[in-house]
Parts: sequence; C-alpha cells; structure tokens
Amino acid sequence: MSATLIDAAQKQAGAPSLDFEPINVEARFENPRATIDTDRAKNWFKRVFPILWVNKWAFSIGIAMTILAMLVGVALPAMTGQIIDELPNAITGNQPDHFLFLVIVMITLTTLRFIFGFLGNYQMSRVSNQLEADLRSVIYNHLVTLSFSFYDNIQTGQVISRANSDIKAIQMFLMMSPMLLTSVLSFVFAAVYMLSVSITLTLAALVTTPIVYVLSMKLRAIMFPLSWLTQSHQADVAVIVDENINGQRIVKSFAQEQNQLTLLGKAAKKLQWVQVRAIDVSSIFNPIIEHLTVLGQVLVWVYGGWLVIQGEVQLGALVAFNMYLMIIQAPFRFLGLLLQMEQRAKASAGRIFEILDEQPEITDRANTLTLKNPRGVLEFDNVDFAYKDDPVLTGLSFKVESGETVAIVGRTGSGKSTVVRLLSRFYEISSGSIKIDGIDIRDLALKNLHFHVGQVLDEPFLFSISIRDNIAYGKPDASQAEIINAAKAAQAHDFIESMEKGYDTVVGERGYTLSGGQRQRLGIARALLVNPPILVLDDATSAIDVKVESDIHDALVNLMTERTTILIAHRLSTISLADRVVLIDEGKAIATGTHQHLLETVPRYSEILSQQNRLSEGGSKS
Amino acid sequence: MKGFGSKHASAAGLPFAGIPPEMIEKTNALMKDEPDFNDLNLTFSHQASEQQPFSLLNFLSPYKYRMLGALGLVGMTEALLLLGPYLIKVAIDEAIIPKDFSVLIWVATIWIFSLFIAGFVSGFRQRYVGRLGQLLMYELRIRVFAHLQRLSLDFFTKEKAGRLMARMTSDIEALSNLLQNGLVNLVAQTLSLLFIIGILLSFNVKLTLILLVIAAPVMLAMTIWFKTVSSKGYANVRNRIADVLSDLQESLSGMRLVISFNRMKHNIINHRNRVGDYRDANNYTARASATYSSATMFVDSATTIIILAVGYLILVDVNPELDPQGTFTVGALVAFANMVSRFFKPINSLVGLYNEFQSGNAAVIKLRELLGTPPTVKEKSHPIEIEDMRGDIKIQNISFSYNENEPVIKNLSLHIEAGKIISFVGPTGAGKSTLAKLIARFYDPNKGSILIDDYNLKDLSIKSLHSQLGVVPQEPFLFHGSIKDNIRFSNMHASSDDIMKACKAVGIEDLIERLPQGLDTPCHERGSSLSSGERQLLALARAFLSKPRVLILDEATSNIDQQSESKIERALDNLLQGRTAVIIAHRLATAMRADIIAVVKDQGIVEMGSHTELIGRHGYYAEMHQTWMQQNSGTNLSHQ
Repeated sequence: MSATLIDAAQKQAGAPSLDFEPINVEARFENPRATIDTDRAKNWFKRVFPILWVNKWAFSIGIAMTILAMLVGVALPAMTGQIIDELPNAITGNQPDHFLFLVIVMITLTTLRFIFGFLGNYQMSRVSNQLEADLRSVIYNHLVTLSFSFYDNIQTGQVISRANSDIKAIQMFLMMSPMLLTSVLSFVFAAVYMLSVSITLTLAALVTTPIVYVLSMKLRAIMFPLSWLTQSHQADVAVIVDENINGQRIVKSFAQEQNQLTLLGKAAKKLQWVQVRAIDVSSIFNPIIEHLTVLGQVLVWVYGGWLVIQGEVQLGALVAFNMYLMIIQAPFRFLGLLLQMEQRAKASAGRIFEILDEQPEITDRANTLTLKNPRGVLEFDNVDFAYKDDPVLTGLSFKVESGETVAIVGRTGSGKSTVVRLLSRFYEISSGSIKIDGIDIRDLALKNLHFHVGQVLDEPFLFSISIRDNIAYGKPDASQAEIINAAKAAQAHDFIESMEKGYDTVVGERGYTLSGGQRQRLGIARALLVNPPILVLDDATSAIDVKVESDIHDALVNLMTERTTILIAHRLSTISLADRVVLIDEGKAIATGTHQHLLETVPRYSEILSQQNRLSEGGSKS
Repeated sequence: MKGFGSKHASAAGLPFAGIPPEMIEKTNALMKDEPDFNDLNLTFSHQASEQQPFSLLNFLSPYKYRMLGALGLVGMTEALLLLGPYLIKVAIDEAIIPKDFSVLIWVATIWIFSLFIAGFVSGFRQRYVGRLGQLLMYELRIRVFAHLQRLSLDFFTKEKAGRLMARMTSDIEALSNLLQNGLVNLVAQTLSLLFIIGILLSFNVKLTLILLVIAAPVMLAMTIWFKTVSSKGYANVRNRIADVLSDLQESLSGMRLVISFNRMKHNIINHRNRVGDYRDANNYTARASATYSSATMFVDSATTIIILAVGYLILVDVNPELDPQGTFTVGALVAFANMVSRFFKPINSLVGLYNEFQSGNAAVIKLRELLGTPPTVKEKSHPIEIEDMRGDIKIQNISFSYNENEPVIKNLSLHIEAGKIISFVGPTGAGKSTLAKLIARFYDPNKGSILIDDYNLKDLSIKSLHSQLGVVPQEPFLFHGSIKDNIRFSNMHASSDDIMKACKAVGIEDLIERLPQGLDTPCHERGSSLSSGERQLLALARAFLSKPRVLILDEATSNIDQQSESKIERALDNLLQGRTAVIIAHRLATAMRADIIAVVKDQGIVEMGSHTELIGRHGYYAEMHQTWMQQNSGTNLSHQ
C-alpha cells in the first residue's frame, strides 16, 4: 500500500473527484437560494432582506392579489347603501332595472373577491412558509460549518429556542408588514367615502377610536409579560411532573411524596395566580374596548339619523357608513400590533445573527492537498496548545510508525484526549506541527483528513435511529454485509442479534436503552465500518469486559494489518494491547517505550498507573 | 412537551423555549408581586384512593351553583348584545323614516344604557368564570399528581413517561379549555343562535327560512369540512416540526460525530428534506384556511345580497305571498341584513366546539382511567408506624413473578440480621434486583412474607418504612435544581453543614470546591455537567443524608469510570457503617466487602456465606472469583 498525494492542480486536470463525503439521501427540496447579509453594520431588516428578495415574484403576486381583493371588496358597502336608498323608491314601484343591475354587479364583485382573496391569502402564506423554511435551513447549514470550540460553549436548548420562536417572530413580521400597504389603501378608500357622506359624522364616528387604540395597546403591554410568565409557570409544573414520573423510584425510596406534592402545589398555585391575574386584567379591559367600539356605532346612528331626518344624508349612505367604520378602524389596531412585532422581530433577529455571525474557527487553507491511502506515519513536532488561556500542551513531540499501536498514558487532565483531538484538527495548535505521512495536516482538506482519521470517543453518542443506521453513520450506503462485519469485529453482532428487532432496533434517546458497554461497542463498529487507516480509541472500551476488549483488538488486526492505532486508556488490560506507550506529563511526552520497559525504567510511569488502578487489586484487601 | 404557549404556538406544536431576554425585566417585575405560597402544606396519604369514577359531572358537582350562576350571566350578556340590531330597526322605522328625532334620542339612551350594563355584566362574567376555571384546574392538578404518587412502581415501568406527562399537561389543558370556553360558549352560542332566529322571525318569516334552509347548511358544511381538514393538517404540521426539531437537537448534540464522519452534506440535505416536508405541511393547512376564510366571507356577503334582493322584492310587493301580513319594513330589512354575519358566527363556533368537546371528552376518559387505577402495593387502613427501625430483615418462603408464567423468585427464605451487610451476586436476570425491590416494598411478593423487625411489611405505613430505608438505584436520577437541592432531596430540613458533611463522607467536597458556584451549581446545564461517577457519588450523598437504617444499593456503583471508582469505595466505607445493607454489585471488589455473600441463581439462593467460606466451597462463586482474578492479573502489573 502506498500513499498517493493529489494536489489541487492535478485534481483540476481531470483526476477523479474525491469528495470523501458520504451522501446517501436524495435531495427532495432545493437549498435556500439566499442567505443573510454578512455586513454586521446594517440594520436587521436589511440583513434579512436577501432571503425575502429571492422570493420577490411570488411575494409580489401575493400582494397584488390581496390588493385586488381589497379593491373589489371596498365598493360593496357603498352598493349596499345604494340598494337601501332604492327601497323607498321600490315601495312606490320605481326603477327596478337599476336594482337588478346592482345586484348582479355585487354578486360578481363578491365572487371576484372570493377568488382574489383566496389566491392572495394562499400565496402569501406559501411565501411565508418558504421564508421560514429558508431561515431554518440557513441556520442549520451554518451550524454544521462551525468548529468544536463553538460546540464546547453552547447550550443546545438555547440554539433550538432560537431556531423556533425567534424564526417565527421574524417570519411573522416580514409577512405582516406588507399587509400594512393593503390596510392603508382600504383605509384611504373608506375615509374618502365617509368624508364624502359627512365630515362631522366621520369625526363623531371616530371619537372613540383613539381611546380604543390606547386601551388596546395598554392591554397588550400588560398581557404580554403575563402570558410569557404563564408559559414559564406551565413549564415549571411540567418539569416537576416529568421528574416525578422519571424519578418516581427515588421519590418513593426517600418517602418524599408529600414534599413533592407540596412542591407541585406551589407551582400550580403560582400558575393559578398568574392566570387569575391575566383574567382580572382582561375582564376589565375587554368589555370596555368592545363596548366603546359599539358606542361609536350608537353615535353614528343618532347623529347620522338626525342628519337623515334633516335630509343631509341618505339612509343607505348611513348604513354603508357604518360598514366602512369597521374597515377604517382596522389599520389603527394593525399598526399597534405591527410596532410591537417589529420590536420582537428585531430582538429575535439579533439572537439569530449571533449564531450566523459565528465564524468557523478552523477552515481549509487556500490550496489544500488531498491524500489517498495514507500509510499512517504520524508526527507531533513541538506542539503547543492552549484552551483559551489555559496551556495544555507545551512542546509535545512524538512519532508513530505506520501500523503501530500506541497507548497514550498520563494522569487525568494531562491532555491525552487533547492530543488525539488535535490529530483530527478539531482544534488548532498554536505552534509546532502535526504531520501525517510527512504532510502538515493543515495543508490537507479537512474532509480528507477526517476521512482518514477515525475517532471513537469514550462516551459514544448514538442517534435515535436504528442500530444499522448508527453503525452506518459514516458510510450511509454501506451494504448489510459490511455492517455485520463491522459489528462482528466490534463484538457487537451477538447482542444485536439477540434483540427482537436485531439491526432494526431503534436506539432510544441518546442510546440510553443500551448498556454502557453496548454503546461503546456500537461506537467502535461505527468507526470500523469506515475502516480508516488511522484509528483513535479515546478510552473507548472503558465499560467493556476485558476479554471482549482483547477480541476487539484481534479483530482490528485482522481487518487491516497496517492500521495505525492510538489508544487512550486507564486500564492495564487495555494498555497491554499496545506495542508501545507514550507517557505524557505536564504538556510534554516525557518517555516512550514498551509497557514493561517504562515500568522498569520510569518511576513516574508506575506512579501514574498505580494512582489510576488502585482498585485492580482491591479484592485482596479483605 | 406539547400544549404549551399561546393558541398559535400550540397549534404548530412548538415547545416552550424560555422567556425571551427582552421580556425578562417585565416578568421579573410581575413576579415581585407573586406570593411564594410558602405556607402551603398539602397532606399526602397513601390511603385516600378515588371514591367514585372520575366524570365531568361529579368533578363539577361541588360547584354546581357557581356553574349555574355563570351560565345565567352568559345568557344575560348574549341577550343584551342582541338589543343593538333591534334598536337599529326601531330607529329606522320609528324615528328616521317618520323624521321623529325624539324617538331617536330615546333609542340612543336605551342603547347606551344597555351597553353599560352589558359591559359590566360581561366583565363580571369573564372574571367569575375564569377564576372558577382556574380553581378547578388547580384542584385537578393536585388530585391527579397525588394519585400518581400513590401508584406503585410497576405502573411507572408499564406506562410510557410521555403518556403520563400528557395526562398532567395536555389532558388537563383540554379539560380546562372545555370548562372555561367550551361549556360557556356552548350555552352562549346556542342562546345567541336562538335569540337571533327569534328576532329574525319577528322581522320576517320567509327571509329567515331562506337563511335557515339555504345559507346555514352551506356554511355548516364548509365549517365542518374545514375543521376536519385543518385538524388533520395541524396534526401533520406538529409531527413535521417535531421531526425538524429532533433532527436539529440530535445534530447539535452529535455535532462532533457529524464533523469527524464528514456527514455535513448528508445532514444538510436530510435536514432540508425535513424542513421542506414541514413547509409542505404548512402549505396544506394554509390552502385550507385560505379557502375557508375567503369562502365564509363570500357566503356571508352573498347571503346579505340575496336577503337584500328578496327583501326588496317583498317591499316592492312583486311577490305578495312572501309577506302576507304586510308588516315588513325598511328598518326590518336593514336590521335583517345587518344580522346575517351575526347569524353565522354561532354556527361556526358551535362546530369548533364539537372538536373541543371531543378532546375534552377524551381527556375525561383518560383521566378516569388513570385515577381509577389502584396502586398494586396498598397500605393497610390502620398501618403500624414503625419508629427507630433496627433493620432485622426476615424473608420467609417468598415467590414472585412479574408475569404469571415466568417466576423470578421461588420459595426463597433469608434472614439478614440488624447491622449486617449482605451482597447479592449472580448472573444477570437472576432476580437480585427484584429481591431488593421486594425488601423495599416496591412490589409485594405473590407468596410468603417479608418481615422487618418482626413486623410484616404489609402492616407498616409506607411512609415510616421508606423514611428509614434508603434505596440507591443504578441510574442516579438528578432533579432539576442545584447540587444542594439534589442532595437535600432526602431530607428537606438538612442544614448546609449536614450537606457538607454528606459531601465529605462520599468524597465530593473537592469537586464542589472546584465548581465556581459550589453547592448551588445547577445539575442540568451543559457547561457544568457532571460525569456519571460524580452523579453516582451525589446519589450516595443523598442516601447518606437521609440516615436510613436499612440501605439498599442496587448496582449503585456500576458504570463508573476508573477515576471515581476508588472514591466510591471510600464512600461506601462511610455509608455502610452501622447499618443493615443490601448490596447488589457486578464488580466483585464491591461485593466482597459484605459480611455475607448470597449467590442468587435459578430463582433462589444457591450459595451463601462469607467470601472465604464460598471460595472454599468451589461452587459458582469460586468460579466467578477465578475469572475475575484472571482478568485482572492478565496485565502482569507488579504492584507495590
């Protein structure tokens, strides 16, 4: 086996494209055509705007339809008024032809409004849903580019919350704001009609509107925090219930039933308190707001009635006037709502930008090299590394030959795990270099590097998919035979087969339906399926039986003789599987050699080991 | 955790994600007024089982007068609301057309006066009904939760946690909706529909018939169609968003794997597919609601136009048989046309209520089932309160099985003297853990009896038994809250000194000193997440604090990383001192520290004695020990 190096120029010259990315899913939807503006100086709306702009045609059609629906609808009340004005004529038997014409026109307009209204409403919703989907994808697509250091510092729950309520807040504002246009347009039409009927009547009609507006704003301002607090108290109750269901055995064990009941009682009382408070507020405001609006109507009928009696206004016009009154009040309410929505959308956008503005710490260099079939010679040369300001490695150097199995030993916190994470370039070293087959890993494409270095971590994360899909995670198109072989090598095949659904068993949340040892074996099978020339086992067998562990290592050798393997282990049984041990202390590799050799020559080595293995002879104590 | 949040959020099935930061200040201000209910002290009894099957009727019966009062108020508000259209007719016919301004003033006075009364009554009604509903919800929460606490462990292993959770959240909410909106609306809308039809009939019979026979069925059919389609659609939206979020959640938690396996592209496509399916589900409901909202508008105005047209014809007297009495007036026609959309409103709401009633009814059935489930481990009606338990345990000829055909334990007898430590060893599934659960009375044996200090477990009060007997299970369960809260769980009144003492006893004082927030560190947040060994030690500290007379460690020290192992051994030394203890351990090193070792196998105890005795017997235990020794010596470590 020999390593082949393909450089960028060669690749362009028509060599087979090597992507090293497993894809076994068919794209059924197109990726978002735009993302947010990266210029942080711009205001939030401008930054989100590109996502809106790619949907401009769909969006314009929606708006156009909505405006058309409004235009055909706005004439209806006036026509109703005309029919009513016909009524006295009807009694005397005049002008029936004109009447028929009016009815036909009105039916036509209502039908048109139905069609345009449906199209506009549906189209706007579609655009809005598209926008939400695009925002979700944009965030996800960005998240997968970020590095380990980002994920060390986030709380998953918060990111999910941003992906939820914050996206909704932005989506709602973006969709509602253009509606202001149609709303204002219908306001203008209604106002023109009303003023043409009577200026004073219009003023009288609108006398209560400002009060209603102020009261509604005030009500919303009071209710908003109340409803958030209600939700939060509901969540508190749910947490207590959840814990008492899942931790019921603990509750019973310590006879805590009464205390827990009281705890829930308090939470339920608080929930009741905040809900009652909301009820008290709204039961004062709501009737006032509702009835003040009706009071406006009463004024119109009294003053308008007087105007009709005076002969200044027709009865039909008065009826129509009342209908326009409803239309004219809507924009006021809408505007108040919109202002509040803008506040929320802005805050939400800020939180989403925080994620999207996060730059991936580790990226490919400009002209990356691509390594094919590496031999697996590793070299750490004078490597320095610090987490934030906390130096972990200072001048670490060691070499691993192709096909060698090396155990890294050191006390807790000495940076053993860090060493192997640096090998995959999950973090960036501050100085020195790490080389694979003599090539600096920073010159390799990240995907290429990850393809060749398989990592198995001690707490193996399993996805809640089937065991088969978990094993095939790194190679989704693997055949059944490949999967079974990997499972066999990891000594997992037997326990998988003993399960009712075998490889189709869906692993529960985070894999907690399996024992620690079983999870670790699946983690190893997952790495073995890819069959990487360089394999890292970071305390990956801690919960596995000693005998099973040595079977796994036998299988590893069978799978690939020239595989380079790095082990991090505490157990002597694991360390004994290695050809050689590298001892790390205080950020440096202080000694290397076989286990026996180090035991005999380096006192520090047995000191560290005994500290870790005090228990292995604990039995003989009694 | 479905069912939280505003109507909109719950329709889309989004979980509650915390109060947004810009709101915190305002909610904090609110919480300043919030009473902390510290004097609330609910009494819990294992006895009080549900007397009658739960039903809406007997749940509400203590409040029947208040309910009747509420309904009376509802009727009043509806009647007052309909005065308006009638007054419009009077105004047109009696004042505007005959040009009599004084009548107009009268009409206005009555109208405004009725508005004041209506406003007052409806405000009072909202407050009264709302408060009553909240009180009922509070009582129901307590009642269901208390019953959950009463139920035995087998119930919790059989039922899925999510389903039980739904009983306390979405089912109670469905019921609350039914009581606060459903019942009130049913009465309100029915009354309003009857009133409206009455008034319309008084205006004109034929026009009313047009409305009832032609327009109403169309509207009804449309509404039923929409409710069916949209509830199906929303269920689909909820499932799709759950897919999106669970994928996001898993990707975030497993991002290190995504990166190291180069799965980025695959996952992007996969996520986009889920997001796309979610979008399509949303589009489906959007089409239904766009159709429905434009169609109702259409039916509404088309009906108004038809009413006006027919009314016109009646007035023109083109068709005299439509109005034989000739009492139909212009005012009546205008008022009639005005009432058309008011007529449709109760029809639409009543259809909506049908769904609410269905889910309310389903919730009642599920709650009845839950509240009707008796605990399998029952407390006697006059139980013995055992004080100062010594911890002498006698197991007499017991048999036990989870399912009838598979006996787990058969005719087992055993005596554990007070202050002695016994460990159970044996193959997986032999019933070690079951035996421990029987001693703790999480289950009752099918045959035989277990005595503690010569009292039958079944005669003791469950509380007195459990407060002197501590169990530490395999999975150390931590509650929401700080480390302190979690340790203190077993003894709410423990002082900080006691807690620190417990921490020292199990050797986590250095861990706690290392944490910036010390004992107040929250247990659940990611940044401060504790290792499984540390969690295990916390669970032991919890047991230490409760000072039990009998301690049962059910695999409490397995699954522990090597570093914590030595600490746990030290913790056990402190913990077991002077107590009766039952240890189940798969590590022989832990099992060996017991006074007596019992090998549980083939539904009974096959070997028992001290470590040396059992080694001498060359039986199952000796063989186990042999394998274990080989594994550990396989590494030829010479140890000083």
